[in-house]
Amino acid sequence: MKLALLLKYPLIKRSFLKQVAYYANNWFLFKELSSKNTEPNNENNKNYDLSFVDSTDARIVIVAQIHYSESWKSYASISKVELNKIIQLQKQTDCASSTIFQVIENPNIDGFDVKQTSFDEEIINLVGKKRILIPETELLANKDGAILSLQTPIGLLFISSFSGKVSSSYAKGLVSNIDTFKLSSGLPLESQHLYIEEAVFGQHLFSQLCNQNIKALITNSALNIKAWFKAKQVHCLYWAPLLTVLSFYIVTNSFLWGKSYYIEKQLEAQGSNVSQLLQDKRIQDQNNKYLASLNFEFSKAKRTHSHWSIIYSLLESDMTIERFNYAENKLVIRGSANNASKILAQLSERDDVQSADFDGAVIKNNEKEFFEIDITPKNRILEINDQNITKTVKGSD
Amino acid sequence: MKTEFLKYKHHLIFLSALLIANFIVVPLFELQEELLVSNSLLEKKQLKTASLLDNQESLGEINKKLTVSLNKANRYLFSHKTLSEFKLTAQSKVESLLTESNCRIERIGFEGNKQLLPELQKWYLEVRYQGDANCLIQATRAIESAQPSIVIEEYSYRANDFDKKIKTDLNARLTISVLFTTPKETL
Repeated sequence: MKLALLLKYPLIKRSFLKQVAYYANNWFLFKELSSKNTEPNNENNKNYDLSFVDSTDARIVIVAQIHYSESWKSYASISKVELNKIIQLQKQTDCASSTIFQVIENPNIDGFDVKQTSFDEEIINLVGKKRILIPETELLANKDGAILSLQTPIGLLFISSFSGKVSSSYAKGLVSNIDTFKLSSGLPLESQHLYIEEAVFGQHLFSQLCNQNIKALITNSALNIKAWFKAKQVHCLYWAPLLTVLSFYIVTNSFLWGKSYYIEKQLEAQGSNVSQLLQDKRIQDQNNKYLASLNFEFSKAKRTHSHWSIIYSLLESDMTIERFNYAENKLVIRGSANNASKILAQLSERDDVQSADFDGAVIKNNEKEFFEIDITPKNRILEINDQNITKTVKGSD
Repeated sequence: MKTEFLKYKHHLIFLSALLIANFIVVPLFELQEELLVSNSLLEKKQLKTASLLDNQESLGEINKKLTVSLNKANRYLFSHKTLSEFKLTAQSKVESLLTESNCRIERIGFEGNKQLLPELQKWYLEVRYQGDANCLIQATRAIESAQPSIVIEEYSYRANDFDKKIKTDLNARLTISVLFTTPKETL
């Protein structure tokens, strides 16, 4: 994934621009310039220029070639594992934030070529160990076979890249021009080269940075993640809450244990007296429930003896009864009389009758009327002489 | 050894944090849950005990009244140690009431029961008998004023031309209920 993919988002891009700087004897920041006569939002039309600043806190620093040295070393007939062990050992002796190791496989020697980029001590002291350092040559020569002549803020820089190997030099001393550089790098004189003016150097550098693969960028950068964090602070991130929770549980559990111990002691002191009382209370509760149940049953029981009074009044009114039944507080009487309506009227007037009605038709036959009457009597509750049973139950709750 | 230890010191610090969390913090959390529950129960027990001790005297008075009430209530129940003893007594009681009322008993049988409490049952009996109006009236009165209490739940009386001459015999079918209990523990 290329960095340009992330920089499509304006918010990320703005933050990123604040965190990227270029160092070439002085600090430079990338400044965004929109081309005139074009749409301001069109990303392709935006230019980036390097602007001089006194100092910056940018995390990512692109370092000019003058501030680091590159050396190549070949390791013949060696496995990758062994090579990695050697590099690890070297990393332990060198500072991780000042050295980059790049490993390139070389089948000709059945081994590997290792490029070691070492930043000057001065720059390390200046930028500190917490920043990410990117050698500018790694950005500028990202295309194999390219020969570049760049007018950087501190001079003319020549770069070539062949078979993954980058060589670079400023125009000075014996290598004063591009032709000499080509010859010194073993390149033919007729090789085409690209010249970048100082005015567009910033734009070129930024576009090269954006076109970098993020994974390759990390590999080709000097970063010391260990320097970013203090081990103690990282451990504190989980130890502090852990110890707080532990203290909380120790304190609260101690309090709860003490409380339960105190209550248990109190209960023990009250001793057998309390046990007896609790036992008595349990029996009392059971007896109360028992009495309540009895009272409920007694309250449901109805007296039916008073129904004979109703029957007697019907017989007195010349009614002949065939059958009378009582169930679920309903008295059903079947029989015959000379005048059924008179019987019903007489029943309705009685104090001990709540309601009375014919059930079905009244059939007349030989001067007699045959009928069935449904009566709801006002039943009296079965008399329980000891009324204080209920009172005692309520009183003992 | 020391070099090896220092090499893995960060791993060991993290591991010790995990061990503390797993073997100290988690058990402490579970212990707290248990303590909260047991404390709650103990507090309830303490409250109840304190209340009982405060009302010890009134509790005694209530117990006395309760004992009296239970004794009174038991007069209305068939209180027997065994079911067979109860059934025999209840049936004999109904028989004697009907016989004393000059009724001719056809059949008396138990028709099932309802468990009101573990120690209290309501039993139903079906009673069939014959007799004149006097028999029926006397039997009703005798049943409803009997001790232990007998309740007429349902009845059905049949006769051929039962009129004011009241000379006709009637066929009666009653469903009655009685309460059966086993002797209770009293204070």
